[in-house]
Amino acid sequence: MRKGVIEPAAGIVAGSGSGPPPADAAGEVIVLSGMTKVYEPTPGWMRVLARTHIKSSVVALDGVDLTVRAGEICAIVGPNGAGKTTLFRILVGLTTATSGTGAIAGLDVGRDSEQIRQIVGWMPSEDRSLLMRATCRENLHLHGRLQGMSRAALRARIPEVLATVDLAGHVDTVVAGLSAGMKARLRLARALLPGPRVLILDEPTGAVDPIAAHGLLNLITALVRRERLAVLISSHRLEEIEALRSQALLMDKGRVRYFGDLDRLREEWERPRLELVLDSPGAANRVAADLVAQGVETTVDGCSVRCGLRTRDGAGAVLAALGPTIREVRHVREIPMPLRDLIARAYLRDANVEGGQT
Amino acid sequence: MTVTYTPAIGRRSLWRKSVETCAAYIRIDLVEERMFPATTILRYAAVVFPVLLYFFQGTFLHARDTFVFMLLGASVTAGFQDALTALTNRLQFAQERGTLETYLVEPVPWALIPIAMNLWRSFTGTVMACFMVAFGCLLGAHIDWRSIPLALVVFAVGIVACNAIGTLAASFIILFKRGEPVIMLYSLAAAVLGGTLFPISVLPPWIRWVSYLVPHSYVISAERRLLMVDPPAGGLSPWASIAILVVFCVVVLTVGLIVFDRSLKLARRLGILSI
Repeated sequence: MRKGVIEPAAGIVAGSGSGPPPADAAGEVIVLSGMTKVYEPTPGWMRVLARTHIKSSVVALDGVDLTVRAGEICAIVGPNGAGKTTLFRILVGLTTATSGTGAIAGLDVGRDSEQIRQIVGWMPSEDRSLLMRATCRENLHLHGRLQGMSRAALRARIPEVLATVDLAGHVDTVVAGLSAGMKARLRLARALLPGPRVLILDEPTGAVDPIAAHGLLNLITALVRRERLAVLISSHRLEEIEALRSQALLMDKGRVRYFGDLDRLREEWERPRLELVLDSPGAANRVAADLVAQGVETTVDGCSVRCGLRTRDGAGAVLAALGPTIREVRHVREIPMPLRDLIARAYLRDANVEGGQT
Repeated sequence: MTVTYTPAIGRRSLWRKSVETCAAYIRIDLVEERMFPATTILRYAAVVFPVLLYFFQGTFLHARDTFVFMLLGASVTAGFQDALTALTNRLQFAQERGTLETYLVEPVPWALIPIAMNLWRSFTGTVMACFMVAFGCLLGAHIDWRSIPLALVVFAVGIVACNAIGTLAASFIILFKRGEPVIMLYSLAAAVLGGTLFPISVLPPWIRWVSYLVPHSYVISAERRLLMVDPPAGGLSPWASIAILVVFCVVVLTVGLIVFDRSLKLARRLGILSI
């Protein structure tokens, strides 16, 4: 896979097309190639006893290619219904792909699901997955035993992993008594308990306050760096994804809109705005009029003028266009494009390309 | 936050996985018993009343033997019912609550899950049946104490047969999200066809053959022959009942596990494991 390259036609990064390579070749841990999932309505004979949840086929994933290497975090971003959860569910074996191939550490996601579940730590997005009336220790003990950890190992490991997620003082607290953020950390502890090689985190910070979320992401980043874990993470908090400095997979309606690092996305799509603060509103209006006359898009707000840059490095060109009025400028500031707008721009571009094609 | 980590776990044999899975579910069942201690007490308090009902009915009919006859039938049925409904209720609860998915992403064969989930309640079902018989004895029922060990063996084989049926019901829950219709149909039918309150010999021949497909009828018949001081004449010997029940267990459990596995695969393909 060529990272960071947008394929305008389909909006999908091109894959090798030769199936999943061995896990250790080039450190690739998660390799998906042309993965497609189409949910079908339940067969007619089943509808006698239960209503079908969908009436026609739904394409949840459409030819997704993805590679995550050891020591890499890949953030999956997309609106509701983009296919993020379906992708995760295929990886942990809760549903199957309709076509395409997928491998984790060289194990086929369809055929070797049980072995994959041994090396993958999954953190679902909902608290409901915890046994609410049991304590943190009891919750972890159940899953540790199912993972094959001995009682002796669990005795040492449970306090350790709870300390890792800052729940050291809550080993014997009943889960129902924990805050939403604590429950999220307990779910992370459960995913970390057996020492997985791959972490799949479905909106891990959804219910966590910003400071706790920052700590949680720092912990994940440190684990990735230290243990060379491969991590897939989905989040609606774009500032967090930016802070992770990770790879990003932008999805929409089951298709990949962009795959690569966010710096490259910025490089390609960012059009920052320049803010000029002047002496008076009159001066701001004069400057704006000059810039508009030269074809620069501007907005005036009191003493400040904001202009869109034609190129990423176009601040000099705007300043040069001011001429003698530049003496009236008190402050100059470049406003970076929020990640939200950047992603929206990437989505919009692909939608336009598709619209043009059809 | 600090960072600590341990290496991944190595491969396990199927036997080790089975033992560890069963141990994990039994432990969590014990935790649940502790979470809701009153539930356990109330469950045992509830079964006192059917025993009293049959006792007073026996007194009214001036038939002490009828009381023992009905007591044994009702104890077996109640014990089996406890084991059967526990599995479906628990599986459905896990499915609706969202915990089933976390059980399914653990590296254990899925076919083990319904069996492991029901081990504890199979045990408590046995204890409940024993409790009912013991309470009946306190009220004056006479049983042959020497036959208790073999009676427990018969009951245990019957519990395995119920688990086999429970596995079929679990398949139903996985695909259709509701297990009560199957269990309710089976339980009510088994109460009639299994001869809980009367010998199946009173059933007309055209319906009696269905009784031979219900494990309850073999267990109840064997328990009466073993435990009653003056058992009713006719019927199979306890050893013949055990042999038939063992065959029933092997066949239905095998079919049940295959059907459960297929149901999970279909639900997995359709994406309806948790919805």
